[in-house]
Amino acid sequence: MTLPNDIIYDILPHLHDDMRALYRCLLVNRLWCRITVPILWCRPFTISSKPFTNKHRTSRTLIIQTYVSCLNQDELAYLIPYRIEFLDIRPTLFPYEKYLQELSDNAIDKGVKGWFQGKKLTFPFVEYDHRAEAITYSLWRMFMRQCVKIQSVSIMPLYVRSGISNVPNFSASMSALSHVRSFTCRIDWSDSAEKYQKTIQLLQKLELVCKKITHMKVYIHEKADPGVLNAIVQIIKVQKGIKEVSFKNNMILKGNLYQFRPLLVPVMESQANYVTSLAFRSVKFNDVSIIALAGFHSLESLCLQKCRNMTKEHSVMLSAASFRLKFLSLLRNPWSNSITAALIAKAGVNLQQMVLDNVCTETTQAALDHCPNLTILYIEVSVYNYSLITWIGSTKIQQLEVSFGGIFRLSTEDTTKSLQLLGEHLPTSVVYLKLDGLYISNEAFTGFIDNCKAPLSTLIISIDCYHDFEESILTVLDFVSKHKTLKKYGNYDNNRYVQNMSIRELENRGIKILNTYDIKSLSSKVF
Amino acid sequence: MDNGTSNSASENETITLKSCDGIEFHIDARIANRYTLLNNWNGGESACIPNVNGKVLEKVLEWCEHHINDPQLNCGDDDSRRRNTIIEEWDENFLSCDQDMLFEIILAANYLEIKPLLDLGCKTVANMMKSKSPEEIRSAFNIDNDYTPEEEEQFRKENEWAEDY
Repeated sequence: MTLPNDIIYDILPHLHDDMRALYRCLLVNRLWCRITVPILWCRPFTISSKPFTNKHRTSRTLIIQTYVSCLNQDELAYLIPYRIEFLDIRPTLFPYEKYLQELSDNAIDKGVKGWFQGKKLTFPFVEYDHRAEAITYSLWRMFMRQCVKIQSVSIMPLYVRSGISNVPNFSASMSALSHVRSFTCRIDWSDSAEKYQKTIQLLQKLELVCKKITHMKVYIHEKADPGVLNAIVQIIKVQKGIKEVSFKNNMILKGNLYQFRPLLVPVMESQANYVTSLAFRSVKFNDVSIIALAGFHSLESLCLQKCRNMTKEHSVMLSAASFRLKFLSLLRNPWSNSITAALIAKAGVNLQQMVLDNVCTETTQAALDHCPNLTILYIEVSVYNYSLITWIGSTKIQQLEVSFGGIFRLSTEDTTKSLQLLGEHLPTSVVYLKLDGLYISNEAFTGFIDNCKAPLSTLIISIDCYHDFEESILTVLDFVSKHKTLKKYGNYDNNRYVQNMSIRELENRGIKILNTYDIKSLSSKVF
Repeated sequence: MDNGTSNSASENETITLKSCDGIEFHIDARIANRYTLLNNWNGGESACIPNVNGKVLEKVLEWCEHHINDPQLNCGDDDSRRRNTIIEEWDENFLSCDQDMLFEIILAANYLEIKPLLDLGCKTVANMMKSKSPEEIRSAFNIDNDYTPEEEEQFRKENEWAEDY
């Protein structure tokens, strides 16, 4: 029995994040190749849920090799003065460049650099740099000429190698970018006045072309030029409905904290009815910016990290805002407990997911009094905290992630005590538990398991593998026998023990063993 | 296809469906309400669903019954559905059948426009293919290799980056 072609068209997109499988599918026959190539080439630079390795670096070099083969005569002619040898170029069987949906200048720049290194050219640095720049220039020309499906653009136009700031020089329309939904812009200071000028020109062009952006992220690495920020404001203003906005400062330097203030009011004025998700890192608030924040009527998700100057008056102003939050993340904000408590209380009955590091009587009481529908909780703690455990015990959460960390580590005694209490207090609604940053002895783990009544289906912990790994797996096996609910188990050191007999025994009982990368991708933490 | 309508039928109402080989099924009317095409074949002595035999229809209806209370998906959510690679345990067990039956269920879901079941079937087949070589895929799907050796070699070269990505 076989399946008709229209079903094959439905099946193959499900392999979108498995490049190896797609590669094998395109070698099946011509029809499968026609279906597979557009899927394989829509996000060739995107690595999903795996660490970036040398293999990926080599792959990116090969991607550039194929893209170089797609250049037209004009784009190749541009490279002639640079005396770059193209011995292995021949017309490609598909217009691979046409399918690109995610464009990142950083990925292209690194791919081109790798391509040159792969060719083992031994130029003086300056000449090498010009050649790489020339290739990048021709590639951008090709993408702007051929692409029709670009949905996501991530650029760093002020960086030395970035080729995107040259785009306005050779493209009158830039219509290749007219369907962009997600726009990420990283800005920084530059020694070059020419770079600033080109960057502003580029952003002005983007303002004319990109009018369907729904997800916008702006990162300031060190310092933002007012002209560049203003150009970003203009892009924001012309959008017809941005849903997600994220502003992040990378460094806390004097003056940096103020950099996003000029952006907030224009965003609110033009997008107040559309934005459902806002994230800020290292932003210093004042009355104007808080009024702007309170004006986002449709806000459902708010993340504030390392933000400053939130006063009690500000929290009162936010309490009167009409938005209803489903997600609230408050991490490393140096303000008083009562302000954090007021923000939690504001979130209220709609709140389903919370990320918090300030666990104290005021904040937990606010959550208990106002947030009965909380189901997912991510907590960061740095000291032994009994009130955290009793609070967790009085909630109805289903998913709990606790990160023990910071500079201080819990003592062995406190770890044992904390785990035993957590086991006693863990609500029977919890099905997912992840404990990060605790080095757990088997004695402490047994104390937890013996007391735990929650029907856990996923358990992720960090057992002290040097001493107690074998025993800990036996403890997990014991838990599996008693509860029969566990489906997934992860230990931060599992990768080193994949051949372990006890691990195999767990797998034989139908438990999926999560590796380090599965564990990272499961994290609910934001930023 | 999900039509986005609410399940207005009550729990006690039933409708009758007949497979192409004449087997009758009395099902909860709310199931037919969710999937327009099933509703079209309700009742009538001669009304039977062409192309779907009793054995396959029984499986399809078993799946529909289990998922009767699932939230309705919006039309046009194709991308997000494909990005969701998780298959629930019940569904995984449900589709742990031989390949011919799996293909029959997919064909029936496609014919009856039961989009979530079609997606589930496609996802299951995609997962099965993950560990297969091109030759094994050809054999499983009964496909001939129509490449010339030169063509195949050039495709390998142009897409070599993905071989170990």
